[in-house]
Amino acid sequence: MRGLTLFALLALAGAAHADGWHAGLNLRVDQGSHPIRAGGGVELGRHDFTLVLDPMAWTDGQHDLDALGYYKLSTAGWSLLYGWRTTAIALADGHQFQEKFLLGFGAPLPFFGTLPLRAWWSFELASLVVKHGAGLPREWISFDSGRDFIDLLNFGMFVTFEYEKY
Amino acid sequence: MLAALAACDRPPSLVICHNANCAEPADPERDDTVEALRESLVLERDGLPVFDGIELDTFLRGADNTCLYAHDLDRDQTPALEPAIILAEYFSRGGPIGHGDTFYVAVELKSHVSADTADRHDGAQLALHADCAWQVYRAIADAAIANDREVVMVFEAFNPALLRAVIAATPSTLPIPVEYSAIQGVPAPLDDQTQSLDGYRDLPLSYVELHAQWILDAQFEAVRSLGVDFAVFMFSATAETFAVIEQLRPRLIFTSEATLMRRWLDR
Repeated sequence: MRGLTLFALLALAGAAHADGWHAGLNLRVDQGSHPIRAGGGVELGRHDFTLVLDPMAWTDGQHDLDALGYYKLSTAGWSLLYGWRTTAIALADGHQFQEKFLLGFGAPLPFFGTLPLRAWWSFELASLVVKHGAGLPREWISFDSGRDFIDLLNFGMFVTFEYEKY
Repeated sequence: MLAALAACDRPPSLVICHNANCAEPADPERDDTVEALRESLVLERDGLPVFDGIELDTFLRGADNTCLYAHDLDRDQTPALEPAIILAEYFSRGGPIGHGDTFYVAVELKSHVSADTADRHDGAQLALHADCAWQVYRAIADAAIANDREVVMVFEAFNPALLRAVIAATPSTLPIPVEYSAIQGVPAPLDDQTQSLDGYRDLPLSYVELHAQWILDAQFEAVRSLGVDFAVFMFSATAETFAVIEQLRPRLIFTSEATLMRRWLDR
């Protein structure tokens, strides 16, 4: 959580010198997080930093918080995706936190023309690194056998539709 | 969407202790060990056991045709009847033995006979493994009747031939009810154990057990076409697992984290 706070502060500090900022919806159809979330971030040269919050937490008590970074690899916008997802899962008497490292790639979708909107597609590998909280024993990912990690590595895809300002 | 609507009127899912090893943190290396079984049997929340039943694996070691309590051949081996003896002691304790009124004992017949998962039973080994499963049944049933416990036994396998062998060896009297289940795991080529559900169409299945994060649309439709219930299993529950459970509301959840799952269901 401290890492996410630092990430958010860096993003806010960077906004003063940003090439632009963006905010909007983060949507997906897989089970990696809630299907509709909202986020925003800043673009700094080849870098883009985004924080995604989860208004759907009220539906089932689960909150998926993402801190995402993109590093542009090509002029077309193909980018390396990296980040962290903290999922808080509501339990009777507490929350369990599942911390995931995200790695993948993303690219802009072209269909908004000259409007101040942007659409972005991303593909992620989410690796659950550690579960903790709610008074339950901490569980770290292990690679001793396939059964230790096969449930903890999951692929996902999402798109963002955002207002952008340069 | 159809699955979600169909799930609305289902009763709460039952929590089953996967591989008799469901005390957190999840550690598959301890699956089907006496130590993990004993640690799992003391898991309680608010004075009630956290799970509704327990799953035990039986493994026919083909090298000497010995029936074992084991998930695989990586560790020291325990006779198949050992966990049944421990459960018999458990049934004799005071107070409830499960979270609900009925306690489920799921006995999986492992579908290979050596470290190689492609090494399957021959005809004689099918009969030996089936006889072993019924010996476990008798020990569990005797303890259930002696202690006035409501217990249901489920025989489950990745291989329909094993379930056919078990049914062919059914004893003349059944003191406690028996159900049958097919298991569908991680699909090939990642794992070679799962067989087509077509092979189970002549069997009286109560449910099909699927890996929560590897449920293919075709599998889902095939289970629906059989007209049987769903169960899901997992090694470590993630946000993806919980989403699937919310969507499908399976009859049974085989989990290695029984306290986590109970607290999630009770939230």
